[in-house]
Parts: sequence; structure tokens; C-alpha cells
Amino acid sequence: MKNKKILFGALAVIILAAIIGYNYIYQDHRDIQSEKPAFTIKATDFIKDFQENETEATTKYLNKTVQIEGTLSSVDGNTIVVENVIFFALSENETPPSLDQVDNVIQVKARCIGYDNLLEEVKLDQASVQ
Amino acid sequence: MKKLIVFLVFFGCVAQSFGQKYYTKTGTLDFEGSVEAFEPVKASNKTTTAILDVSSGKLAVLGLVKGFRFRNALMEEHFNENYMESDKYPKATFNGIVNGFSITDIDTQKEYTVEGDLTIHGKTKKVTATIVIAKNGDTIDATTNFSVSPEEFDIDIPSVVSEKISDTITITANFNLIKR
Repeated sequence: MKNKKILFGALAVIILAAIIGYNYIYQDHRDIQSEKPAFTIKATDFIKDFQENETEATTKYLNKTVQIEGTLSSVDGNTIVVENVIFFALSENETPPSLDQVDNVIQVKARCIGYDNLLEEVKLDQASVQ
Repeated sequence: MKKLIVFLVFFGCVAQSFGQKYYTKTGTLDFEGSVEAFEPVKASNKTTTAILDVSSGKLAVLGLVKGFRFRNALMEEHFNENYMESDKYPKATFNGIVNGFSITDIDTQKEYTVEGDLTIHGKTKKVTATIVIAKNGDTIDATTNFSVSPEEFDIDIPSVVSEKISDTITITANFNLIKR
């Protein structure tokens, strides 16, 4: 009787450990869309930070969820450009804004992946238009 | 009037030699270092910038390391934090030249060698690879693949996981370049 209890106890621990382990190894990706932005900022200020000091701005914004307000410059497939120099790759389930939204002010939430010094653009991914 | 003509001719030449750049912001970099029987170790970066200067054959590529997406979130975290240290080294770059490149030769697909400096994890190595380039209307398509090993770039793979990650990592690049 006592042995049975121990056996069940051990089994429960093993199952629990397996579930925790599985959930750790196969944890979900970050959901940028539902995250609260670490920064809410005007596009012009955001780009200025990178132009003034790339290293500092990279440390500040890299991998952070940022909400940016600025003028939509162009739409190309699944990517948009705001204020001419901020590039967003939209998240997969996001519908790109229509072309008549160009020149309008929009709000975009996305994750900053760094500064592209070849084209002098900041790049963000998993973007959603708010 | 003469001056103006000279100026225009001069300006025209300058514009021709410097203005001939093709680029993309949405190039693809795929890497794979899978070992059979273990979970695939692969990721894709679809936001790679590449610029090809068609007058000189110079090729510049920049992939932001955080832009590599894995199917497995934990693998992506380890890739960034433990191996690539992407907070410290956010960029992977290539700067090189396509040997003997000429835009007039690529109406049908042509194979070239590309050589230059590959910088990953803050460490620069010379690499040479075959690149296939073809002009398709207004776009130039370029595809290349080559292998690197993590050691070459001072990336330590702990022995616990080393058998699950291949010693050679294959990198495939695919760019659809448009005129700038």
C-alpha cells in the first residue's frame, strides 16, 4: 500500500517535470503585438537617436518593442517605410496598409532589430499597424 | 554653351559610373547546421540588405542578427544570447567583389566567383564562393551558398549540445535586386 503511494508520487513528479521541461523547450515566441511597448516615440526622434549615436541607440532599442508614430512613406509587399528611413517588416498575419494611406500619419508597433548603415535605415520586424 | 555641354558630358559620365547600383532590403539569408536525428537547427533572415554596384562588381551585404527567425523560440534565444551574442554584435556583414562582373553578360544566368570579407560575431574572415547572377527585366537575381564553421568566428558550442549542431554551417543567400 505504502509502496503504491510512493510509486504514484514518483510518477506524478516525473510527469510534472516532463510537462515543465517540454514547455520550456517548446516555449512560444514573443508576441510583439500583445506586448506593451518599452518606448512610444515619434519617428523623427527615433531616427535622430540612431543618427546621433548608433551604438547608444542600438543598446537602447535593440530587441525592444517600440511604438512609432510617423508619416507612411511607402508600402512594398509585406514591408513598409515610415519617415523615409524606418523600415518595418510586417508580422505574417498583418495586412499591409493600402497605398492611399501613404503620406498619412500612422502608428506602428514592432521589434527593433538594428541599424542598417548601408542604407542608413533602422529596421524593425513583426510590425503591426495600430 | 560649350561649358554647359562639357558639364553635361562630365556629369553624365559620373552619374553612369557611380549611379549604377542595384539593391534590396528584403534579401534572404538561410542558415542550416542540422544534424540528422536531432531537431533541425536552421533559421531564416528575410530582411537582409544587399547592394551590388554593377559598374565595379562590388557587393555589400548586411544581415541583422536579431532578424534570424527560428521555428523554436528557445533555439532563437540561445542563438542570440549564447552563440552570436547579438546584443554585442548586432550585425553580420559581407563586403566583397564579384570577379569579372559585367551587367551586359547576365541576360542569361551566369556563374561568377565572389570574394571578400565576411564578418560574423565581430570576427572577419576572407571567403570565396560561387554566385549565380541573372538579369530578369528590371531586377537582378543573385544566389550564393557557402559553408562556415562556428570556430572560425570564435563561436563556442558547448560540448553538451555540440553533437546536435553540425560542424559546418551552410549559408544560402538569395537577393532580388532592383535599381536604386
